[in-house]
Amino acid sequence: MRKDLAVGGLGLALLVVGHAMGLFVAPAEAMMGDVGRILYVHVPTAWVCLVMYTIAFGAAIAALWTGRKGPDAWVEASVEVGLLLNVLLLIQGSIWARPTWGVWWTWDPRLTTAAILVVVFAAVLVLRGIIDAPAKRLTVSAVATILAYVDVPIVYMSIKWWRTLHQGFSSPETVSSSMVLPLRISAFGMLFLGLGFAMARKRIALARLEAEDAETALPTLPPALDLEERA
Amino acid sequence: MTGGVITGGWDYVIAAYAITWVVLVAYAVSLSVRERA
Repeated sequence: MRKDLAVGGLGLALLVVGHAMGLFVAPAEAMMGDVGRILYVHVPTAWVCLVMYTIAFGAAIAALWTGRKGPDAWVEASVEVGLLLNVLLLIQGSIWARPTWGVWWTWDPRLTTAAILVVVFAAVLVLRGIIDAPAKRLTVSAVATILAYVDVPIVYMSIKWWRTLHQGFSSPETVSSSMVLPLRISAFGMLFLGLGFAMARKRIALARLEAEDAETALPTLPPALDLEERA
Repeated sequence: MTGGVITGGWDYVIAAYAITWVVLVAYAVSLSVRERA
């Protein structure tokens, strides 16, 4: 069985269970009421988004170090999956903000830095799309990924560094045990699903990079004979 | 809101979960399509 399908399938199953528990088993949050159930989908999305960008950061360093197609394909894959989750978490956060803060969006430090992540990692994919030369593309997108990653710790620490509307750090000690389990299951579900997506996307990227290599390695064919002229 | 607690809000909850699942399923389909291309 393909590894990406196995990992993604496990993630899918865990995510279904975690979300079902978050929706129907976990108690309503003390202050947010039922709206608090959005956290079981929003928090895992945010965590796994940052995990994907961290994988991209590691792959970018490996790509620069080795110059090989494998890490380069991982950069493309993990940035794309991270970006997908990044957009998703901003939408989920916006839906959660409306009933709790009274607005769909505010230029809060956590929200703003998370929105900047979308822009900088989208730029990495745009760069990959417009550069044709494989070696140049590898170098430029790896450097861009490393530079874009600078925003990841800023997003994580933004709630500590600035005054913010966003909730602070939580831990199993500060959250009711009846809420920890669905959150944990959803988090592992999203993690495995995200990894499954990234593995599948890496296969696609690697196949394209290898096809590109094969194209450039083709010998130049002699010009076709003009039979009419020879006769 | 009653007594500092938000009441209702299921519409927002359903919207957040629905959008998440639609996006995840759409991405899975896009991967499958791109792999076959």
